Amino acid sequence: MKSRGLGYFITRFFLVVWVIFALFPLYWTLITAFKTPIQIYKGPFYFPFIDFAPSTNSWQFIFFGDGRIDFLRGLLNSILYAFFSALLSVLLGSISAYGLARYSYKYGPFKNDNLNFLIVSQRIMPPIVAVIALYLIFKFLHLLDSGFGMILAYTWFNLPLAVYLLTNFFASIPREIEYAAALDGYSKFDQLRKVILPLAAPGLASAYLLSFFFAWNEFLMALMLTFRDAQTLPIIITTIRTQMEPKWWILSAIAVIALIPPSIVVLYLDKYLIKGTLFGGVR
Amino acid sequence: MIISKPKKTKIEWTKHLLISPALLFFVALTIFPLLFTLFLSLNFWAVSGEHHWIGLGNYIKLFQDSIFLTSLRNEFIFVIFGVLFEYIFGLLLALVLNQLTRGLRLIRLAVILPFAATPAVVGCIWKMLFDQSYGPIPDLLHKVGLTSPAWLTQPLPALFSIIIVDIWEWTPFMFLIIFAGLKSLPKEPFESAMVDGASSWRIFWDLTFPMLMPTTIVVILLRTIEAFKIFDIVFLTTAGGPGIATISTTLYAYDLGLRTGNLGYAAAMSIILLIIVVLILNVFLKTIEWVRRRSVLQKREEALK
Amino acid sequence: MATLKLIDITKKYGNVVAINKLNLEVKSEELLVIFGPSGAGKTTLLKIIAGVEKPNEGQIFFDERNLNSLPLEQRNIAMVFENYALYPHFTVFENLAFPLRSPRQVPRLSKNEVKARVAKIAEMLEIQDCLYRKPGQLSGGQRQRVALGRALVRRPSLYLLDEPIAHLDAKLRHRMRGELKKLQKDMKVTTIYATPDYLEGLGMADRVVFLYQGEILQVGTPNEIYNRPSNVIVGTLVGDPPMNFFDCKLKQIERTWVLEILEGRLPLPYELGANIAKKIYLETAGPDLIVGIRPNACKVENNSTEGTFPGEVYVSEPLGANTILTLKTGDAIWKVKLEGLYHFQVGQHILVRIPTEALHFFTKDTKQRINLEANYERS
Repeated sequence: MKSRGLGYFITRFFLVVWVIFALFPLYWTLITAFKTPIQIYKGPFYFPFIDFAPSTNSWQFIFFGDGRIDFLRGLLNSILYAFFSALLSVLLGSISAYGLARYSYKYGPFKNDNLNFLIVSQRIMPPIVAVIALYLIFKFLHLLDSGFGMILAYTWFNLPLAVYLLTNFFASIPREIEYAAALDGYSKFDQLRKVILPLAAPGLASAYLLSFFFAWNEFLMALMLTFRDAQTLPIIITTIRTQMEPKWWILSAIAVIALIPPSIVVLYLDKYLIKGTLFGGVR
Repeated sequence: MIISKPKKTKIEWTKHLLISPALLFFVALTIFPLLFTLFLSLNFWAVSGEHHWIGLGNYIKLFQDSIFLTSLRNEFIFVIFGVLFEYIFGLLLALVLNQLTRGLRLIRLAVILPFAATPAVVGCIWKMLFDQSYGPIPDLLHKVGLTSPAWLTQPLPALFSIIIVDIWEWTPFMFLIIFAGLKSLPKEPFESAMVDGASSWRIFWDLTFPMLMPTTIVVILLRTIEAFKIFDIVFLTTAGGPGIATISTTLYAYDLGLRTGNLGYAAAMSIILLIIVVLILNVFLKTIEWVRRRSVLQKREEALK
Repeated sequence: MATLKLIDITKKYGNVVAINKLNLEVKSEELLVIFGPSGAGKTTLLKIIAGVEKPNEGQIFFDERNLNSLPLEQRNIAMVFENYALYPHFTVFENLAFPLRSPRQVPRLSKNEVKARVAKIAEMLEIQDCLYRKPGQLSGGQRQRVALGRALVRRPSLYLLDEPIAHLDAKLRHRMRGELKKLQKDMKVTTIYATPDYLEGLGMADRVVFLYQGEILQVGTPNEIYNRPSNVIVGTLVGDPPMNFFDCKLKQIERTWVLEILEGRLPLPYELGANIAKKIYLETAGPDLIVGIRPNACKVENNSTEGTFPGEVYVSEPLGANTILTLKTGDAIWKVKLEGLYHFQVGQHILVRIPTEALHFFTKDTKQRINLEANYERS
């Protein structure tokens, strides 16, 4: 039995410290969502039922009280934008990815790999560069503060990611399988339907979830391109924060809600993330 | 000799159709806005629509703008310290978790969770945490007998705060990629090293770290590019403050562009940021190439000796 | 007559010419083996016939119908791919049934008919126990059999089999060779079978096409390929151990034709010598030629007589029913295959007879076979 050296304890200690570090802010947010204003101002309390008696007043406020208009609007918008833009990203992304994976392109000096890089390079550009122009463009097209505009913007935002992931994915499906199905007598459409699509389903699902994730968490574009009706949940949070005495308890409640969908996505994708198959190309 | 040209044209047509949506989006919403922003940067352009050409006027003003220069300084501080610590912590986490057998799944989830959180929400949460009067962090420090720095209200602590939040948010990202890289390393070299009786320290420096080099490069590259875009956290935790101590370039551009309506100036700022990111990216890639070439030459020299 | 005709087929990948102006006619209902080392272009050729790859030049006719513009799904061809291309998300049963359920399957088969056919093929290939597993759970040999089964379950006009039993163990491979040949004869479907294994190829074929670096070196019956290789390459690759080749000179000494070979002399029958001389002097105006002899045609002798040559044993491999000796004579290294088990010592000097009837003659520069009159050919 190998003796447990100092190194062992240091590493375990580090791990414990980190996990506390990682989880404490989330824990704090959770319990604060159950505090009353007085409990906040009386000084920090750490343990529900021990230091303080939890209450549901912030939840009532955002779901049923005066806060519900803004909150529910923000929640609905976030859900809609993430849902539809992810769908569009994956739809458009997958057909482009299929093309890139199966056919060879040549637009001037640009060939397949270049095109892939080009589309992905959009991620290198700081969004602010495009958003400033986008603001004016949207203004001109009357798309400011509109759901349609936001879905469009988020689809654009996530398309490179979807194309990148799905191209790798389609490329990993051997071409021979399509040929085999063709020789077996199936038309291209049937090949896609019966063979390719079932095989690509996990990849499509992952691409969808990731797009949803990034759309949900997005802030800058929502900030610049909306001002009232089309605001997303993160924006709603900031409007509360900007008040002189920020209402921590309400803010925490909204934060908890806002954290749920991306957490679910991450939990689901956990197995893919660990295999590294999501990011591809990482040795 | 008859050369047959069958449905080649039909295939050509479909394949172009396939890729057109992505390319269309790319051109319409990336190339065009990029060029438009470039154009904007050379104008005085107010939100109201009033505009006139001023050539490089915005850029000249920028380099005399102390706020802008502060923001650039901040960008580099955030990027360098952020990426550095995130990499180190991510690496440590990956190494430790690689040795775990029990509870791996649960702990891994706990480690990853911060990354799932919306950055904007994260900013708010940490603002809460750092609050001098009601936040738990100053409170806990007092309880332990230390004085709590004015986390969000003094320039230096504020910079620290941002970096801490950034580390909290992004270390999981580094961890994920490094962990995947670790897992994909072949086991044999490590097994034979252990049989040879090498110490953990040696194994790490001579085996693990060099073999992780490709992963390291990728992850640092990816994170660096992202780090320059920092906005949400700063906006919500310190709003760039106190004063302008923690302002990021994107934040300043947003502020200027939308709040005060000087879009041309904001556009110029964004372009500069873009140029910096692209330059750094290029330098990075060239350095990697250079290092790789040098190590190949070195190996060749040694082989010839 | 369901014949397949390939006319001037050329296939290039960038600058590399994979198939070069290939012409071939496949007879109806025959089992044609395309034999060649890896890289010869066998898979490429099969893919071109299937329609998976398009030739840069040339035409394909099947039953007088030009296939060039016909899409894959209409060609009514079944193919076994080198890497199987099984459907990973289907069970073995579904993989085998998939072709039978396609819209092009005419007449439509009932569920029971499909089941019956699948069961029959599965039994023949010994995979009936795996029917409800997925390809990912099978061994390599099992997967290969599923791929083969998927092709055999149909009744197409043409089978293209690309090394379909390469990854099976020896016993099963041996059995499958017989089964496949019988099946092909029963089903009366034209079949093209690619393999780098000459025993397999020559054993199964009605005719053999020897493909090398994209060109056909010889077409003929297995007998012709083995006994009358048209080319040094064909002689080398068909037969194990490969044919021995020696650079020799043909000289006339006092009205006897003599072959200067292996640092010695081998006298040839007069007419044989004269014929060869005529051919080579006509073409190359020189006495050089290449002579080939199969290792199993040589015999070890005790006495040094005319026609025997000395050799120093370099390697001795007793292999069950045969013994293979690698001999060194001067600079030449050559092999002799003896029936029966013998034990020779390394370094031992022995004598080997080279019968003149077993010699194959090739020109030195083009390495092509020198064809002689019938009575001097081996039967």
